[in-house]
Amino acid sequence: MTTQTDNESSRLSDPGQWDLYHFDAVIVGAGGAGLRSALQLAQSEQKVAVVSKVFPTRSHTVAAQGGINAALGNVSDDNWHWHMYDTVKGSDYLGDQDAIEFMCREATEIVRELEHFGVPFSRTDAGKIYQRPFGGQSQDFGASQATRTCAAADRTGHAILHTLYQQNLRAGTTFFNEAFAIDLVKDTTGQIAGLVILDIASGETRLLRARSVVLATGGACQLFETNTNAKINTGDGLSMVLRAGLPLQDMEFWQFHPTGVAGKGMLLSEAARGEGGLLRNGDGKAFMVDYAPNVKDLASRDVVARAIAVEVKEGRGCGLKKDHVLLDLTHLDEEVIKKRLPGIRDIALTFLGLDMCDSPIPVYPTAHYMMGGIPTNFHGQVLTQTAAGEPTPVDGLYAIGECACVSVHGANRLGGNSLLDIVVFGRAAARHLQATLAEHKASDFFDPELELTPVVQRLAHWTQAVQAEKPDANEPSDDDSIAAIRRDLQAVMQRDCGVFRTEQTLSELCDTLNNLQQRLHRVTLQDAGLAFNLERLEAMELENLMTLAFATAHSARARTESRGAHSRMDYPERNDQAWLKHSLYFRQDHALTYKPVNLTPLTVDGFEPKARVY
Amino acid sequence: MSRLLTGLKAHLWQRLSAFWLLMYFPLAGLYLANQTITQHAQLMAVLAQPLFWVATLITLGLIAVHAWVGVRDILLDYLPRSSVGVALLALGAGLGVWLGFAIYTAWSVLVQA
Amino acid sequence: MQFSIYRYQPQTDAEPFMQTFELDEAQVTDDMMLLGALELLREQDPTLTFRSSCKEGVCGSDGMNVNGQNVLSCITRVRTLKAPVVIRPMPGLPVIRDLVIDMDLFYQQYEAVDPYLQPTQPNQTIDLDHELLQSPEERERLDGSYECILCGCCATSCPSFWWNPDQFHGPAALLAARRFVVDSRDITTRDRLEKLDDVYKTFRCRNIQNCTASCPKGLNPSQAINELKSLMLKKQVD
Repeated sequence: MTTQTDNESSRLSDPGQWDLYHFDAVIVGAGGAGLRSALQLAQSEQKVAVVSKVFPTRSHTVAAQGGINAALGNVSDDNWHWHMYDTVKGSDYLGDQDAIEFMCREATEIVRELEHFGVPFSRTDAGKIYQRPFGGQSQDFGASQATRTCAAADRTGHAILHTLYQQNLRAGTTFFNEAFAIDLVKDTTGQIAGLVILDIASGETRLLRARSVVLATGGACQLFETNTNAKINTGDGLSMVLRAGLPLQDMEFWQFHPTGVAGKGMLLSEAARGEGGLLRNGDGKAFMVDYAPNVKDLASRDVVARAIAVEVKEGRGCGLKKDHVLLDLTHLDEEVIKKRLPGIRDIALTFLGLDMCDSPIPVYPTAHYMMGGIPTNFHGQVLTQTAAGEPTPVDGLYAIGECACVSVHGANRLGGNSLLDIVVFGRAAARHLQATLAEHKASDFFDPELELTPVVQRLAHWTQAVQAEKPDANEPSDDDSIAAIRRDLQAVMQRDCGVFRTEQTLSELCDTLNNLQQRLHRVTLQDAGLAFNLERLEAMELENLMTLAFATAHSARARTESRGAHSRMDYPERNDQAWLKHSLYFRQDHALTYKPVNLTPLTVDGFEPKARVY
Repeated sequence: MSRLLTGLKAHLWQRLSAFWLLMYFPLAGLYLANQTITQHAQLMAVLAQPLFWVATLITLGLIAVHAWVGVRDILLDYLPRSSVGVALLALGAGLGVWLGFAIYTAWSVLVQA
Repeated sequence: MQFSIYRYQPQTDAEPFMQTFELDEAQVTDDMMLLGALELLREQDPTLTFRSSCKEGVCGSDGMNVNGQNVLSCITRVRTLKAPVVIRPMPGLPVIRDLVIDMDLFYQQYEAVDPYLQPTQPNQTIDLDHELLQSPEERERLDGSYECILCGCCATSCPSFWWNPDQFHGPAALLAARRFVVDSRDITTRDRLEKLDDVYKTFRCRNIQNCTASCPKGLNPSQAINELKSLMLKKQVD
C-alpha cells in the first residue's frame, strides 16, 4: 500500500502529470472582491476562471456583519467628500488620497448596483436602503455623527456574498471550487504566466496558464490566537506574491476589533454600538467618554480597541480575572436588537448562553483585519519598485480586497469600508483588466517556457515530509506537528505583536519566528492520502502564515512611531516627519524600503495630516 | 409524461379526491343503513336513484385518480428511474381496465332499473 | 468522553468503518463546541478529515450527522451530546473521505431554481441612479429565507431528497426559490412558479419536516415549500 501511495503522491510534484488549462484571466479567491471581479469579466468575451479554496459562499465575506459605507444620504445628509475626509482621518493619514477619493466617489453607485443585483438590504420607511451610524463617520468634515452604513440587518456580508455568487451563476462564471492556489508561475521572460493549484478533493495538481492573474485571497488574521477570521484566512495570495519576489506593503498594521467575544474571538459587529450599545468597565462606567469625549463609543476602531486594552491593563476590567469589558445593550428596545442585530444576538446566545436583550456581553479586542497587503494602484494593478525606488506595475498581476493594499485604509480601517473596498476595487480591477486583455491576444502569451522549479520543489518537500510508516507506538518519535507549530505561532504573535508593541517584544518575536521556521522545515506529516489531505494543505497554509509573520514583525519593528493600529509603547506619538510613508517588505533578507503616501486626490484638495481627535 | 397530472394539478386532485371520498363513504353508508334492503332488487332501486348514482360514479372516478397519484408518488420515490415508466404504464392500463369495468357495472345498474 | 467516528479513505480503505476516539473529560469544557473537540481529535490523528471554516455557524462548511441529527459542529455544544458521540457524514450524498461529502448534486439543485434576482428584462440596462424601492413590509417577507447558508443539513436529512437528489430540488433550493418568488423587486414571479410546478422539482416534498427540524439557522423550508404550493394555486386562480 505504501508504494502505491508513494507513486500516486509523486504525481503531485511531477508537472508532466498535471492537467493543463488555458484562460485569459484567473481570479484567485471567491469572496466579495473575487466574485465582483468575476461578474464583470464574465460579462465580457474573455475566458475567465475563479479558483476558490472553499465553495464560494463559504468565503469569509459571508461573516461581515455591520454594513457597507456609501454616502446615499437616505437617513441623514451626506456626501462622498465627507466620507473621504473620515476615511483619510481614520487611516491616520496613511491612506493614499487618490484611491480614497476614487472609492468614496464610486460608493453610492456601487451600493445601488448591489441592490439591483438582489442584496436584501433592510429598508427605511420610505422604502430606501437602511443606513446606520458607524464609528469614525461624520457630517461636514467632523462636525457631527453621520449615518452612512448600508445594512442588511447584521448579515450584510452574507447578503452581499450570496448575491454576488448568485449573479455569477446567472453569468455562467467558471469555478474551480475547493482548489488551493499553491503558487504563481512566471515564464522564463519573468512575465506572470499562470498559477499552480491543488484540487483538494482529488489531490491532483493542475496548471492554469493565464495572461493575467487577479489575487483576491483575503486576509490572514489566523496569524493571531484570538481572531474573528475563518480558518481559511491564511494569506495565501500574499505569501505567493512574496515568493514571487514582490513586496508587501504596511504589514505592521493589523486591526484589532474592539468587540470580539472575550477569550473566543467571534465578532460582535460595530453595529451594536451604532444602534446605541455602550462599553462599560468593571466599575460599570461607560468609559469611552474619557478617550473620545465627542463621539464616545463610536470612535475609530483603533481608538476603542486601545481604550479597552488600557482599561483592562489598569485594573478596571470585568469578570473574575478582570480581563475584559462589557458591551451593554440592555437599555435598548428589545425589538431593535431582534430586528437589527439578530445575528450577533445569536452568536452571544450560542457561544456564551447570554441574551444581549437582558445581559451585557464580555468583549475584548480581537485580531480582525489586515490593513496592509499587496501594494496596488486604484486600478488593482500590483506594484513593485524599480531599482531606483519608483513604483511600477507588474504586468498581468492584480490584487483586490483585503489581500491588497491600495491603500484606502492606511493605518486603520473604518467599519463599513471593507465591504466597500472589495466591490469597488473588484470592479475597477476587472474593468482595467478587460481593457488590457482587449489589446492583446491571450494565446500570444502561452508560448514561452514556464519556470516551475520553485513550485515543484515546494510540492516535493511536502510529499516527502510524510512519514514512510507509522512510528512504532513504543518508540518516542519527534512529536512536533503542524497543529503545534501553528498554535505556537499564533500565541507568540498575539503576545509580542498584539494591540501594544515594543522594541523588546518585536525583537524577541523575530528570534522566535526563526525558531518556528526551522521547526516547520523539519516537521513530518502523517497523512499520505491524496483525497482531501487536510494535513498537507494546512502545512502549506502554515508556510504562508509564517512568511507573513516575518513581514509583520520586521515591518513593525522598523516603524518607530505609533500610528493607527500600530501602537508602540516605546514610541507613543505619531511622527509625520519621519514616518508618513508606506513600508515595503521583501522576503529576500527581510529587506524594507519605503514609498511616499499619496496626499494628492484626483479632483479635490488633499487633507493635510492633523492631530486625530474623536 | 403529459402535463395532465403533474405537479400542482396532481397535488390538487389528490386533495380534492381525498375530500370527496371522506365525505361520500360516511354519507353513503349512513343513507344505506337507513334503508330497509332485504332483496337484490331493492338494492338496485336504491342505487339507481339519480343523485346516488351520479355520486357513486364520481366516487369511482376519484378513487382511480387518488390511487393513480398515490401509487405514482410511491413509484417515483422508491423505484429506480428506468423501471418507473414501465410500472406506470402497467398501472395506468390496470386502472383503465378497472375503471371501464366499474363504469360498465354502474351503467348496467341503471339499465336494469 | 468517547467519540465513534466514520472513517473512509478511498485510496486505502476497502470499506468505511467506525473508529473510536477518546478525549480526556478535563479537556471537554462546558462551553466547548463539537468543532473544538474534533480539532483536538485531529491532533491525535491528523488524518481525520472534515470541512470547517468560520467557526461561528455562518459559512455552512461543517455540517455532519451527530447522534443521528444533522448539525453544524461549530455551534453544537459537546456537553449537550450523549456519549459515545456517533459522528457520520451527512447521509444521502457520496462520501469523498471521512466526514467530507460530495455536495455537487445539492449545489446543482440550488442552481436549477435560478437563484438570482431578475428585476429587469434580460437586455434592459439597470438604472444605477436610483434604488429599487421596497417597503419594510415587503422586505420582511424575505426574512426566513435569505439567511440560508447552504450547509445542506436540510437536504441530506430529507428522505425525498435521498430518493431523487437528481430531480427533486430539495428544501434548501426550494427555500431559495421562495426567496426570489416573494421578492417584490423580481419581475419573473409567474415564470418561476410555472417552472417549479413539476411533479419532481417541488412535489416530491411530502411534508416530512426533517428539513425544518435540522436547520441550524432555525429556518423553516417546509413552510416555504407549502407557501410555494399555495402561490402556485393562487396563480392558477388569478
